[in-house]
Amino acid sequence: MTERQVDLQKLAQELSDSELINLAEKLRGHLTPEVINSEKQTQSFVACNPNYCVVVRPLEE
Amino acid sequence: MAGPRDRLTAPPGAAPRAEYLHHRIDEVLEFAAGQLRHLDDYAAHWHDDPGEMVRKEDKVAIETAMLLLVTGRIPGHRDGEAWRRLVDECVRRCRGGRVRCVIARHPRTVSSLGLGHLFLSALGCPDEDLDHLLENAVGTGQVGIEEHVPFRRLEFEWARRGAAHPAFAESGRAASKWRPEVSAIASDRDGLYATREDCYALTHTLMYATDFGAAGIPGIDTERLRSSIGSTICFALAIDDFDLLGELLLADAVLPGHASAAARCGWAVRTRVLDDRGALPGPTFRDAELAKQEPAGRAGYRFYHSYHTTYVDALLCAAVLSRRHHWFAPEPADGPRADEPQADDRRIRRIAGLAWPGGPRSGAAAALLDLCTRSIVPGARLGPLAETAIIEVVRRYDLVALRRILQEVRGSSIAESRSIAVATRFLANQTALATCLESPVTPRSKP
Repeated sequence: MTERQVDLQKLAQELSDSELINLAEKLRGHLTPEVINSEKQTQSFVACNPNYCVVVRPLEE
Repeated sequence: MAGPRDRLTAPPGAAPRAEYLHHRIDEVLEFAAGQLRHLDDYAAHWHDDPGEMVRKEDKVAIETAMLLLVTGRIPGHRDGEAWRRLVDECVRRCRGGRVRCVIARHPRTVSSLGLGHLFLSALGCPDEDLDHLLENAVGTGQVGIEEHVPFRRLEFEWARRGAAHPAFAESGRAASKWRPEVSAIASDRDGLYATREDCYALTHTLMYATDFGAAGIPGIDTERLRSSIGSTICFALAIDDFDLLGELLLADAVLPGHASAAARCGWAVRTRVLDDRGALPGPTFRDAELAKQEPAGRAGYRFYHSYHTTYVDALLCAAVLSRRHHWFAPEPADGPRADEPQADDRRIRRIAGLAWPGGPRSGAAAALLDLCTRSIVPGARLGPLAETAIIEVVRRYDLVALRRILQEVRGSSIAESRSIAVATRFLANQTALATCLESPVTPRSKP
């Protein structure tokens, strides 16, 4: 590990929670949620689709 | 949904019973046979670009032929009624008049639209007329000249080898040029940084390079590769993507050696959700989109957004079937150096509270957490749970929760693991922004 990485890891431990929250807010000011997530949000199937099992039934049923 | 599957399922963490895997393959073949006969009705509501040479219904038919090819290697599945109906459907669709016309006009489509014919030939269903059209197409020198991502070229070479078509003797040179050290499997993959595209490159490369587990890949570091697959399995769990999860489990299962802890957790989650729901959710299915469809188009929408995930599950079961006792060894490939189970339990509960305050909203995370907190998955539960939780908090950029999770795993069996080192570096790299990012930043408002 480089000296710079050691310093950054030390800094990551020393920042207060509010400083980390502030840092995250700054980043959110620059990036869209989609970029932060790196993937489009997927809809939760389990939470929203109790009728899914119709897919495995033949159409006429 | 109580049914025959429930009586066949082995306890989570144990090797699945052969009967269960056979039953699941049959179930998927019956699903495909029941749906493909409606494909023309479905396709009437699918909107392809008029210039599209490979339509959605072509893709479905070609992937069905691949399903037949891979599951047909397992004794006992080639003689059923569903099987015969599917072969007939695939012959009709993969070798129809439009397919012949497109290949004659655009020889390059041999490597896409022609795949169904090659799969059927490999199944022992020849078609000499179409063979001649393929020879003519290859003779133009225009087959395989377009730029493809490497795993797509590998797919074509795999199909070509399977069909043993003499027209492709020349293009056999391309196959010999594929080298694992310059492919998608050569690089370490971290779930924290993963994208779906990265993961599919990894899974497709392994499917074709190993001929779905029938062949080895000389010179690869299996342990390292399995670590990448395990990390991306946690990504699939975090984003609730059962299609990707199935492909990654398949990628793990076609490698020699035992399943990783993440793969064992992934299999248990897949089995839990399938048992509970009767089907695995497709990642592109949207209730809102379904509601927008005309009533006559809804069955086709449901099918198009579920069939791939269902097919992948049958391919997975076929791969697991041949080596389930080895893949499900008593302990996972990467551990565990067991902590005190009670200490793990406490950590798991605290980490889950940080990652999913109020409880997980997604099916995969909920199943994973339930399986881990109730110790249903034996062995190394903490690693996959913690990595999935880390990916979850990173996806919403909650740096405080990330730091607390890292503090939580200190002194545990996973403290020195690769996933924790990756997450530690991620947090450190974000703090570098503290000294170079202007403040205040005005958040962009949505238009």
